[in-house]
Amino acid sequence: MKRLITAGALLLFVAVSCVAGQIIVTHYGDDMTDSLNSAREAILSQNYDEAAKSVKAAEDEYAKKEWVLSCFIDHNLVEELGEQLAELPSLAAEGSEEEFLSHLDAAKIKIVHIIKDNRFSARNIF
Amino acid sequence: MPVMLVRTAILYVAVVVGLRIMGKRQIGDMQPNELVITILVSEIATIPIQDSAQPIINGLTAISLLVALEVILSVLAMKSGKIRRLVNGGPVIVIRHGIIDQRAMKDLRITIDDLLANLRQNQIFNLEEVEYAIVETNGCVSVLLTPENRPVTHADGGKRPKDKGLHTPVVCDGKLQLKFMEAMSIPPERVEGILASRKLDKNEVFLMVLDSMGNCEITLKESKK
Repeated sequence: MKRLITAGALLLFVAVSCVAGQIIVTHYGDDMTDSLNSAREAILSQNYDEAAKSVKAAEDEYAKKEWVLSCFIDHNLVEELGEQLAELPSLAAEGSEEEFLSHLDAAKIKIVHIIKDNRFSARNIF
Repeated sequence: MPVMLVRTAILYVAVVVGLRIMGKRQIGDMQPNELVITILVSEIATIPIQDSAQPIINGLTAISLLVALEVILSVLAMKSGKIRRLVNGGPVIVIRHGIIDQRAMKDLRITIDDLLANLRQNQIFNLEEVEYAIVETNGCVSVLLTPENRPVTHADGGKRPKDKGLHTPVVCDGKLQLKFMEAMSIPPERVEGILASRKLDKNEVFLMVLDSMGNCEITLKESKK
């Protein structure tokens, strides 16, 4: 009986870590995507200061969340995304719209990939 | 480097706890599925150790799930004969009255060389000495010899030898073994009384063993001799 209770506790740990991982990654990913989308809109309307502010906020937010994300995602991916986000504020400040957009889209694609890879789906299982 | 050390220590603890939860068994006594799970657990533990980019929680979650499933399966197998047979199979007789059951051997995919080697490990070199040989679920071969080849026992001579019972270590390296003593209903006062009668302190004792007849053997620590 004691062993069965321990097994139950282990299953609970497994369930909690899986669900928490999925929720956290999806939630953080969506937040980041929203921030990047607002930066995209700002740069398209030639509002470079606003775009720089948005991506700086996204970068700061990401720096805070990096530790939690590292608990569930490959650390290399977390680092790569961090580096990509760190490049965005300077590009926005320079006003190089094309380069900014290509970097921003690459970061968004990475976020989408991270969310997708972490999702409970047939594609990921098989 | 320190990160790797901490990760290794965490996974070491996880593996030790996992195997402890799965229960005490030696490699040879394990059912095939238990052996596979044990190997899998250790293999999974090596991934986050080797690759520091992998979140450690991935390894811990996988180990926890395997251990939990193994425990649940073993409990189910204990409760239900059907599940037990499904998971572990059943013992199979491969020799009856000295005659090899070739069909059973074919089903088990055991060669005659494997069977003979197993018999030799049981000190049997002649098939005619075997009444029954049974392949157990863990792959071991149990052998019952023919009556004329079985070793003589006290019962054959109609004698009953004196039973000295279990020899219980009551003091090891100067410390009372309360768990053993409780299991064998030996009160600490009795041990202390024996030591006092021999003018010894328990700290001077390396090993003290009691049997159920009341006999006592004491080995002193080398520095106290």
